[in-house]
Amino acid sequence: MTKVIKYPPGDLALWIFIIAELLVFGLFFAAYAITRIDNIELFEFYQQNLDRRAALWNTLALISSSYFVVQAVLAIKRMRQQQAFVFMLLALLMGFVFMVIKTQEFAHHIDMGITLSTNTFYMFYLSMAFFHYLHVALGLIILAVLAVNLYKGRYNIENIDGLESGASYWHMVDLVWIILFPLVYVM
Amino acid sequence: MNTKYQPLLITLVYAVLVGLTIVTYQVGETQAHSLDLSLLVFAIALVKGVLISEQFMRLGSVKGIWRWPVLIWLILVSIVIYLAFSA
Repeated sequence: MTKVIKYPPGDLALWIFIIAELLVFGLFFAAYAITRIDNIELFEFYQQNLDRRAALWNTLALISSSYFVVQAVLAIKRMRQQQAFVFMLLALLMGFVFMVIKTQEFAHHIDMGITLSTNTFYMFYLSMAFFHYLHVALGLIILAVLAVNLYKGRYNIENIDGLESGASYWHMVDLVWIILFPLVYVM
Repeated sequence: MNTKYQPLLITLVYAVLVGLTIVTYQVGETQAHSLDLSLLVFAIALVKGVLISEQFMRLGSVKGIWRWPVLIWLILVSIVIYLAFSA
């Protein structure tokens, strides 16, 4: 049976931070959806200019990265240090794939002269996408620290809080993108 | 779930997430903007969000108030988006 626990995995302070971050992103999503009500044609037209295929690869990259992080945590619980390190490296690699694709997308927008003031759709899209991009960048720094710690054998079944905290943050970054992708690129 | 089978369960969840992502993309490629399709796409996103919360974040095995914040966030975001898109 699954062990029932009273607190979420990792540090509780980190979970308060995660909830605060989700609230901020939630406000962004609500503002986007409500503003869209009076600008449906504008939003649908400029939505078609976005690179949906790049967003698909980005979604797959983030989901894969999250998956590798879960496997790294499970490997530590099964006392497989080296396997956990390899999984964390794969998670980092997938995170970098996201950053490369997203950076190219932003560069393309800049080349086209698109800025926050181009129109209401781009104001929301660029704000939300760049805010999320910064979270991915921070997440990658955290994953890199976790990878170094795994390489040095600092985590084990008795000392796993740091690893689970970092993993929970990364899953939050993934969760936000899971909503952002359909909302901005598809719906 | 026995620890032995957890990696397998997580791999199954991962496969479902990848499948649902591809379905979302394919719906987008139809370029048909209807309320039903939009709500279908968001329902898929909601399922993916629950899977990440319950399985990847492991909140499914948490008992008490910490079990709910992420799920409540997903439900609130869904309600606002549903109301805005169907307005």
